[in-house]
Amino acid sequence: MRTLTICTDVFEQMADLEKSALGMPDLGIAIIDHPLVYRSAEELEQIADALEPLLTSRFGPPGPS
Amino acid sequence: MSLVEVPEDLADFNRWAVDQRWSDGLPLVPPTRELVDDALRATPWPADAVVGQVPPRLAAATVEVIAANAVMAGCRPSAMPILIAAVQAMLDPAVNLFGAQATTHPCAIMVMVTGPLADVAGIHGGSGCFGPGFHANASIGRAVRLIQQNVGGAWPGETDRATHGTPAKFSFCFGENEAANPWEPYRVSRGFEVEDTVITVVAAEGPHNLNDHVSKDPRGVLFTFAQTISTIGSNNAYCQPADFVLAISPEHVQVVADAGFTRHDVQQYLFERCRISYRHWKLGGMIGMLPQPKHLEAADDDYPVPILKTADDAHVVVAGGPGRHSAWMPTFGISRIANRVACDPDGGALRP
Repeated sequence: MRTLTICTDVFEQMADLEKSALGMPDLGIAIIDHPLVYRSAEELEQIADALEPLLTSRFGPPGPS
Repeated sequence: MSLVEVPEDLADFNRWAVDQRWSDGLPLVPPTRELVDDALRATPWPADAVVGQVPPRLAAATVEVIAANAVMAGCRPSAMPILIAAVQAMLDPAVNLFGAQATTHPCAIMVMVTGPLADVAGIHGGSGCFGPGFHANASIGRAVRLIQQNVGGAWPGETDRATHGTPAKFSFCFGENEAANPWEPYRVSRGFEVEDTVITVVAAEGPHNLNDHVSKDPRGVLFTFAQTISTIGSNNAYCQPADFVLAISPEHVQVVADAGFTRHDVQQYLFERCRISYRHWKLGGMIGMLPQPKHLEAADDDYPVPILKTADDAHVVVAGGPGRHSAWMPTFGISRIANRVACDPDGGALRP
């Protein structure tokens, strides 16, 4: 399954620090606008759809479902 | 850790330390070789022993690094056994230090110290115990914060995302008022020996006043406590299981103890009465953010949503001086209390 680490922009510095601390400096993290917590289901779908090109560029197109 | 050349003049050193981002905004004591060695002589732990790795940076908190931050905070050497135990406690996974370091929530690492070494270090649990004015309280709490920042890498506004922060992040350390305590010491109530020195740590908000000036019986005092605690504006209302800390003042504890109430009776009352109507609970706060207990699926609007999962999650300690004020410390909610006995490297409890 294609997966992506997502982080809101407010926590980007923390994410960079933590991936280095965990020995994963090249871990790709998708940065999205803060906040995430009270997004509606529709907004979350839109955010996920907007990340599709990033997933494709990283992992190739989705396989057969 | 290595030795670095620093400006000799104290004011120059502090300007330099601010540029290095070593400071919490207040002047530091230069951690000279001599002062750090003095601190190291106050503990049986070897200087290169790694107490743990402090998130988010996961840098090693060696005993020497702890000593350097202790010196910078202004600690006396007698603080070292307590500080080492405090770092051990805050690195307990239950405390969720990574979360506490990063969160938008205004939590500080609360450090409560009870036992003989608290007296040796000069930790104060009476009047004014939350500050200011008591050197051991102020400096030990400050050292914990400097370790979070300088070792863990939690810098306000960057990796520490607390929306407002809190004055409690400068220092949050206090003791128990054992002289005024009609019950067993807190540490004994939690299963430790009376001869142990126990350091209790949790990510918590600063103290909130519990003001009851009029009640002559437990009903009024405890109702005041429960009403104040039952608010949807704290993480405790939505995070279960979660702890909170209640520092009951000598005058309030006298009211309840004179009526025959034990600490457990107070805890049980809080468990029963710290509740929010479902009607209000669902209106805001953190509704919908976390998985909720199954029983709430059957809630009607009048259903009393419990704040505590068990009575034992209310940590009641006698602290403070004269006056009809007690204090409640709500927690981060996803940080649980960790208790550590101040010990030597082999795990043997330290005694004065």
